[in-house]
Amino acid sequence: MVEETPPTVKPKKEKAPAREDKPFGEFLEQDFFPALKAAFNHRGISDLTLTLVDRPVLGSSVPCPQVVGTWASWQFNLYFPDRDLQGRRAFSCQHLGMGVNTLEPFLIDERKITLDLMVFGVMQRLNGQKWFNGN
Amino acid sequence: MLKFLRQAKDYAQEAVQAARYIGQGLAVTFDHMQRRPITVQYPYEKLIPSERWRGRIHFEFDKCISCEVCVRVCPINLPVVDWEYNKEVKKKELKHYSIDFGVCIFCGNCVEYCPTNCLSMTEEYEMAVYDRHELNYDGVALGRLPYKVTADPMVTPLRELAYLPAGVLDPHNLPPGSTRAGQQPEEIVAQHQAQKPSKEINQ
Repeated sequence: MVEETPPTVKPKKEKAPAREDKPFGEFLEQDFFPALKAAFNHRGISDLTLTLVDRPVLGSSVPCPQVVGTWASWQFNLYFPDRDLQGRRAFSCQHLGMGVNTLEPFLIDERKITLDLMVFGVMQRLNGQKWFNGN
Repeated sequence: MLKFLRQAKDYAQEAVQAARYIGQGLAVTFDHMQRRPITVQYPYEKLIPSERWRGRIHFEFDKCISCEVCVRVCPINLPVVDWEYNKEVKKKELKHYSIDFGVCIFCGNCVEYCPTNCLSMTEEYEMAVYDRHELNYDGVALGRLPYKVTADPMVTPLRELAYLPAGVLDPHNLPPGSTRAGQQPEEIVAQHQAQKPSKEINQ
């Protein structure tokens, strides 16, 4: 006969720290990139390459951490000037090799950024750009 | 006799009054008599649209929450908002947004009521196309930065009459730094703030 442990004795399991609380680079490399790649795979795109680079935005001299994603002839950039997911965010997209012309806000109305939201935001924006399927 | 004189006096007074009212009403018309036509050499010179100009609508994809308020307030339900509910993040996923400027009357209701300010009016007014369907702008076209008269190096921007210094009618060759007639907004604010403390002391 298995002795049942009373529920009060059992220590409450510590809630695992949220993925989003990881250090900035670590979260991007370990969680965001695979999740985004999976979302692209779901759309039938497997040649997505994602890199995290520190490069100044055109017109500025301060290096800005940015995620650069490229596939086929497209490129999109996600900017995190505060090196923090919850900080300022920007987005731009262009044909591969062309210069960026418009910096757009990225998930500007969200209170808290989560992994799902980030993937959702990128996919929604690129789909809105009609890059996944035609108009 | 006296009654006749009074009647004559009243008649004369009313005639003068009427003449004055007609003169007042025509003051603007007479003001135009001293204005000469000013030619704006269009492709090379362009007038700067005024502050509340309602031009092409700009759309910011990121801010749109697919609430369709723009469609409801539009007199002809013109904006097309194509969205799908994403169950994973519990948000509406915007797929396509478009406004047909061949049909739009530029009333600005959508801009006024957009809860996230993702729509805005630009000062772009040159939307000549060969096919009217080219005026059906989708989210990408709506998101492009508007053309600005003042930012075009090939164009000499000219001010409209209301933005010229007092008494000046020709916008060409204005001396640099000339401001429009009347007080500037910041001057009004400064004046208002200067008056404020004295009022509070009186109270």
